[in-house]
Amino acid sequence: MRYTLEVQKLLNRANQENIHPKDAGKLLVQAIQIADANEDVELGYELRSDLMDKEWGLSDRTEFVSLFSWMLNAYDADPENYEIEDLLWKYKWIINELYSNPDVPLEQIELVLEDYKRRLEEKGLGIRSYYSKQLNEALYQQDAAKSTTFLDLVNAVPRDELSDCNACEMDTEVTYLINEGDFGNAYTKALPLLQKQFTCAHVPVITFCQLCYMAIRNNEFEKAAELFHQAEEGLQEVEDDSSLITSIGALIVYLFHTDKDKGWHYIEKYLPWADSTKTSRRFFFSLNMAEALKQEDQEKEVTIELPHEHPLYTTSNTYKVKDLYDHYYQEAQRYAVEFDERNRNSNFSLQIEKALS
Amino acid sequence: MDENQQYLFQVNLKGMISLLSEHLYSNPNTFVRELLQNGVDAITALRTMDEHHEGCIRIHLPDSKRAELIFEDNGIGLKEDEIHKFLAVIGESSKREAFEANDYIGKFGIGLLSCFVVSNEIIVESRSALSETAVRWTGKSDGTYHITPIEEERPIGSKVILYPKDEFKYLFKADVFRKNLEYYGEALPMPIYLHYEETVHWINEAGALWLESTTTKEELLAIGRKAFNTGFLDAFPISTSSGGVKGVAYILPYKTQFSGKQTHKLFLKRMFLSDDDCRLLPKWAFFIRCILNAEGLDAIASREALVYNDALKGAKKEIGNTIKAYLKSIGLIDHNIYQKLISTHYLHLKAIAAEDNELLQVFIDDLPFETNKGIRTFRNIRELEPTIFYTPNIDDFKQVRRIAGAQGTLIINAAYTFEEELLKKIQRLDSSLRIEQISPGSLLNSFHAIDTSLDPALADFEIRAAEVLKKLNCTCSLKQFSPEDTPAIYVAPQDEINVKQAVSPSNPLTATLSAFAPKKKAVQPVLCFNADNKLVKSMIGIKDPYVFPSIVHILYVQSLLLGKYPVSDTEMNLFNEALHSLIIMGMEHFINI
Repeated sequence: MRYTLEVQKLLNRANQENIHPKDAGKLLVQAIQIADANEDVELGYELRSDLMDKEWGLSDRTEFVSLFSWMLNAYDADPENYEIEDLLWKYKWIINELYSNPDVPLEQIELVLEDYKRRLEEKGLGIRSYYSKQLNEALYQQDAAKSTTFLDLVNAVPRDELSDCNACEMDTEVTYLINEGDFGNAYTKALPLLQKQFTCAHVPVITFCQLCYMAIRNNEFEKAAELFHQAEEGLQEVEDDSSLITSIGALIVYLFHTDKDKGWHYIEKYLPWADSTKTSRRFFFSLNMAEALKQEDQEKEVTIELPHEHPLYTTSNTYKVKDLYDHYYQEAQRYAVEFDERNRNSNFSLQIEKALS
Repeated sequence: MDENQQYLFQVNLKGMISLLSEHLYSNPNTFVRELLQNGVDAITALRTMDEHHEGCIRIHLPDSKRAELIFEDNGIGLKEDEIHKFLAVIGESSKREAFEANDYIGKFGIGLLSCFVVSNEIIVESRSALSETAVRWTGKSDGTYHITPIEEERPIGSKVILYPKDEFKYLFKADVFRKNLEYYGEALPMPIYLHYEETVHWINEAGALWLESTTTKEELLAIGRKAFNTGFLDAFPISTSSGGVKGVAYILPYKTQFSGKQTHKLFLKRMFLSDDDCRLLPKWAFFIRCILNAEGLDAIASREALVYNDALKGAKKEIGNTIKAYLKSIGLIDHNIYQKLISTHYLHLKAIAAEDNELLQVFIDDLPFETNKGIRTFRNIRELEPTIFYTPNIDDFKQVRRIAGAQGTLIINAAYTFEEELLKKIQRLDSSLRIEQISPGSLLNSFHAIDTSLDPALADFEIRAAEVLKKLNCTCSLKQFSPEDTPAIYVAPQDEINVKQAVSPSNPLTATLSAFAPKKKAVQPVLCFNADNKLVKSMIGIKDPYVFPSIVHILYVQSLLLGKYPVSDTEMNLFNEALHSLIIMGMEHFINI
């Protein structure tokens, strides 16, 4: 059993408090390779579950779906051996992940949703989470009719072990109200979250961010400033969580309305997070970037350090605002086309129009 | 029923007091802090009337002569109406609305409640500076109190008298109480005396030397050693304009991983607040411990942390800059400490340098990197190597290290994410350097290729070897490389997780996996034969249908082992059978001779 000792050593390092989640991920991959080489399926399952937990906090989740698919196979081969609720909880993450990748056809997502539902029902669990996944997607797409349909469906079934926590469900309702364009109601709805009566891994940070964005669009500068301050405080706790990149995009829009210098500073700091993802997170971030940069003088030249891999990168570090704006505008367009094609609607394109009009 | 009658809620005072006193604070010692705080604030208040007033606090512990604790200050005191107002209304504080409220530590009006944790009764005897007579307030934990006048003449000030509950008596023992007093009050600016039996101890006699700018580095280091029970590499002062933070930062003398939080000593208006940094330190400062006092920051109600506001953010930024400034200058000030700092904390320095160009310029040449030729400083690497190669993960490094070593190439193991970032950044800042990522595959491509079309024997060898390897899902390649004594090298993409597994028929995700597959071409494992190797050369002539595959199998497994790849049971059997065949064939040959 010497390999378990090796795995334990890697795990100890991966679970250090301040280690970068990417480094933790690398260590877990090594551990998984050892478990697999020794054909230890249970250990492989547990380590994959750990790796998923780490990748959840990253914008770049390369292994996410394949890790889970492996776990699902292992579970089906020996269902007695693993805890179903933990598995199904991760299944929820996977459904989001499928939606956020335009290369996954709608039919496949539907099959996966049905499989998820079947598994819930077989275990006698409620299907609230089955609806809330579809509600989340409708909200991302800002599809008003679908959002209402699924919100009603979610609320028609009672809460259960797999439904989102109070904080997350409340945040979802806030998003719903924001999409309806009702800042006042959204803000009131969010009060318990803003006062941290309910919290979760990303709530209320993401609530602060989206409300801050909404407030600045509504010209409510004072509220926006307060929300920004609270968002920044919340971000302190999740400093390396690059999955928050879309929320950060919302803050960048706020900053270009109020404090452009700080806005540029944010861009410099957070661009690497955005560049490491190819999902809808990238779409939302590009859209926010375009919206933010639109506030800046297009002819201005700025000096910022772009990531080496950035398509516009030059050694001089000097860029024209217009070039940056065009880049992000086109990137948002490109993604919108891909998503709209997959979703057979024009919801993403409409969002570009709405944000940049 | 009178519809206009307004009724008042009844609040169960006893319950409220127990809730507030027992649950607001995380430990029963808190009453020591709250009493000190009231005393200090009372003295501060009197000083606004008489700036030469010499305040002091005296504590008389229960001993052979008395059962009660007396906590006495010579501060401003309270008048009877103030006692009604401030001691009897929970949430009311004499300090909150005072003109210069910033001078006071407490302001929530709940501090005295913490005394109910350890005592069922609180007596406050007080004479106000604005009154000739003194009064006695007796409060009980059931929420009742009464006030009686004190006939005798009393000096200006207040006395708080507690009768310890049995279960908390241990907190009032001389040594325990003294430690608590020192814990909270060591930095307070007015003398605190502890009386027990016949003895008197001046608790804060040493004062807060670390706040004074005349204190020498040796003295600072001695204070640090005493405060944290460990020696330090170095110490330097911290002072911020935002939030008025002042104190010392200490550099830890031992390696710290990315785990665990360091403990610090944080004072607010010179009263101990927390052993956490309360977010005053930047996140990357793992190797630093601080003793800090903040004059202009606010505490939350439980007084165990700071409020995260603009002043705190400003202070944090200034502290971060001070630490960076120290790091940038220490090499010029004391080279010995600079060397020790690097050899101990290079990992953290790399992480900071990856984000800060100036620091990068200062440290880069002296930062050590793990390479296949041992630990080398970047200066050494830069001076000796025309091109600097690195691998971004440990698996690649393990594979590449041996081959590269034989080629004389130096490879850096950039296993941590920030090490890779650091190298990329160096490349950007200095275009005269050549820094390149290397993988086993790219290393293989750098080997000298052989044109087999010119030599039919070689071409035949390659075809036959490929056929044997095909059954093992491996491709074949023939190249020239050093070292000559290595007959073959196996290279496989190892960063991805192997998915050899039976797929569940009810797994709908299988179909989606291709959408998530990396866009690069799938790399098949390769066994690269070395055409310069003696054994490989002699294999070219071996045409025997049993001997040839056996040798290929043996070389295959040998290369797996050399590359530290996992060897499965099947592969081990293959190896054993091949050896077995060779031995049998050799024996037959021997007999036939």
